[in-house]
This record gives sequence, C-alpha cells and structure tokens, in this order.
Amino acid sequence: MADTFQSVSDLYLSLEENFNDLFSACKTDAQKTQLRSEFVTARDAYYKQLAAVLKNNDPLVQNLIKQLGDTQKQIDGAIQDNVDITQTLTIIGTAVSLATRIMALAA
Amino acid sequence: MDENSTFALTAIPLEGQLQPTAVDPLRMRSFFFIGKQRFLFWLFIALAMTLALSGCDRSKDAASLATSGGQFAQQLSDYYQSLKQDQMDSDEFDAFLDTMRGTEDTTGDTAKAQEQVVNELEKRRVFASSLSDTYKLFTSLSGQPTSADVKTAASTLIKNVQGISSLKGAPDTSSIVSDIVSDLVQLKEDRDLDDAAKSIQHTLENLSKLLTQEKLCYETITKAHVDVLDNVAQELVKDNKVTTSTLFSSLTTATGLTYKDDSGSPPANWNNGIVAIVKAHALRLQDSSNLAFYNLQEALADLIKKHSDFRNDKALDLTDVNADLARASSYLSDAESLQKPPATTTTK
Repeated sequence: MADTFQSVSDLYLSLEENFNDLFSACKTDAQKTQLRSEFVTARDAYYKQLAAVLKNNDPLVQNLIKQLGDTQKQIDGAIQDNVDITQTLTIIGTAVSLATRIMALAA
Repeated sequence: MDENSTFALTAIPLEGQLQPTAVDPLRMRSFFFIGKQRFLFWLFIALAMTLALSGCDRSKDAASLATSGGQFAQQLSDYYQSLKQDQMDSDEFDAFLDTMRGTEDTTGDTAKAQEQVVNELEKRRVFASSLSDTYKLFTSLSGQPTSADVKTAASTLIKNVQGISSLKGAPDTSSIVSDIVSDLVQLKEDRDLDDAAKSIQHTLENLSKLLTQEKLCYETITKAHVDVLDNVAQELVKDNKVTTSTLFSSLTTATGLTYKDDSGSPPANWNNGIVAIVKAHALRLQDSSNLAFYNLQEALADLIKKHSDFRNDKALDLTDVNADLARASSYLSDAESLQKPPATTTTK
C-alpha cells in the first residue's frame, strides 16, 4: 500500500505543482480538457489513497486509544488503593480507640 | 556461636585495662543480645531511610518523566491540529482553484475522501491529547501526599493500640511502625509507577510504529498544502488581486526604509517576484512542519528509552528528550505563525 500511495501522491503533487505551466503549454482546447481531466483523476486517486492508508491504520489508532484508557484505569485504581489503605487504617484506628475506652471503663 | 568461647582479640578495655582478657560468657551473651537488637534496629532504620530516599528519587524521576512525556503529548496534539488545519485549508483553496481552472470534481468522491482524511487526523489529535491526560495521572501517582496520609493514619492507629493496657510499658514504636507502613506504601507506589511506566511505554512503542507508517502521508499533506497555496497566490497575482503594502512595509522596516504604496496593485513586472516570495513562505511552512514532525519522532524514540531506564532504576537523564522537544516546539511555533495569511492582502 505504501508503494501505491507513493506513486499516486508523486503524480498528484507533480501535477498540482506544475499545473499552471502545463496549462499554459497546452496548445488546444482538447489538450486543456485532457489536462483538467487527468488532474481531477489524479487528485481523486491521491485523496482516496491517503484516506485509505490512514483508515487502514484505524485499528492501530483505536488500539492505542484503548491502551491509554486501560492505563488510565490502572493508574486510577492504584491511586484509589492507596486512598483505601489510608481509610482502612483510619477505621481500624478508630475501632481500636473505642475498644481501649471500653476496656478502661470495664476496669 | 559457642557460649564458652572467649574473645581475646575483640574484648573491650574496661576500667583502664589494656591487656586482652577473657570475657564472661553470660555478660557477653547479654551484650550480644542487646547488640543484636541494636543491630536489627539500626538495620531497620537504615533500610527505612534507604527506602524513603529511594522512593523520593523515584518520585522525582517519575515527575520529570511525566513532565517531558506530557510536553511531548501536547506538542504531538498541536502538530496534528496544525496538519488538520493545513488539510482543511487545502480543501477550501482547492475548491477556489477548481472554479478558476475548471477542475471541479463532479462526483463528490474527492470531497468525501478529504473529509475522511480530516476525521482520521482528528482521531490522532484526540489520542495525543489523551496521552497528555495519562501523563497527568502518572504525575498524580508519583505524588507524596498519599504516602504521608498513610503514615499519619498508621501513627494514629499505633498510638491507639498502645492505649490498650496489655501493651502498656512497651517502648514507643508508633513512629517506627508508621514508618514501616509508609515504606510499604512507598514500595507499592514504586511498583505502581513501574507498572504504569511499562503500560505507557508499550503505547509509545505502538505510536512510534504508527508515526513511521504515516510519515509519508503527513509529508504529502504538507506538500500539497504548499502547492495549493502557491497556485492560489499565482492566480491572485496574475489577476492583479493583491496589494503588497503589508509585505513590503515589513521588509522595508527591517532595512530602515519606508515603503511608499501609492499605486494600489503592484506593477505587473513584480508578479514573478511576489509569487517567488509567497513560494518561499510556503516552503518555510512545509519545512517547519516536517522538522517539527522529525523532532517529535526523535523525542518519542528517546522518551521510550527513558521509560525503560526509569523501570530499570537507571539514572534518568532527559536532556536529549527535552532538547528534541524544544526544537519541535520552535518549529511548531514557526509553522503556526506561517499558517497565518501570507503578507500579501487581497484587494476588495
């Protein structure tokens, strides 16, 4: 696909860059019409091929986006874990404090 | 160790006695026991300090890596935005040129393909933006507050435990235990950072493949944009539809001269020169865009290596990455300023 794209883009870019010179060089209306037609065909082929190459990589792009989503979830989870540890220790601390007071009262 | 053995060479001089002497095994046993406790205590303190210092360095490195990674992601997003803008401008100028040259696409296929190209570029811009968000999260993960919170909670817990009568009289270990818990959390954070760095590195490696595969596409989009700009300028100049006051005013300001614009449109014999200036402007835009991309590719390659260094606990030196990013940023700024309309202005 890369080779096809290279040749298609080379043709279009060459025609685009030199269109005015080529058009000036046309001696008859038929030649001008042919140049216009070839230019439109070349440009159409270029854009279709360009879109196809980018579209062809779409699964890779979607995979990249999914990987990032998974990584973000992973990091979020790790941060939440640390928060959970803090909360757990705080809860246990409160429970122990309560138990200490009850024991003191019982004594 | 044999309890009956003596320590003739390692005995501690007592009350001025300098000569080697035998040591009471019971006394030595007591000394050793205390020594063992001391040894374990200092070993623990040393370990805790090592972990804390190591954790501190890891957090700093993680923050530096996240900063560079975030800058890379933002610049990649800017690059895609610029490329998308080039493509949209080309589409619009193409439509203008078509009416002048009689090259309209009557099927609508070209316009549809152009729209697809813009949509695909937008997907990549969104991805780059999401990568930037991921690095922000990575920065959060490397933050110290969570560890400090855990330390406080652990300290409070231990103090409460010591309030229980059965533990009264025990040495105050609250700070030590809270340090242990804090260090364990630090270890967990380090492992979390490693995991996150590994995941991001995997994504960067796939991104690198994508950029390599699409490099030619990006270059042609920029080249086509430059050619279209050039052709539009030629049409405008040919039909005497431009003034050059802005263009030459800025030029003459730099030379200390003042441009006298009293003719409206420039004379016809200036046309080739004006077109040449526009062409040079467009080529600079093309170069800036391409060089921005090349430097982003370099930055990406270096960034992947730095993720690997970070995970392998190697010294993190981001000089190369940051230099690549500085160059990419400079070229992106050039491209952005050059994307503004050329210094020629159309006449009413």
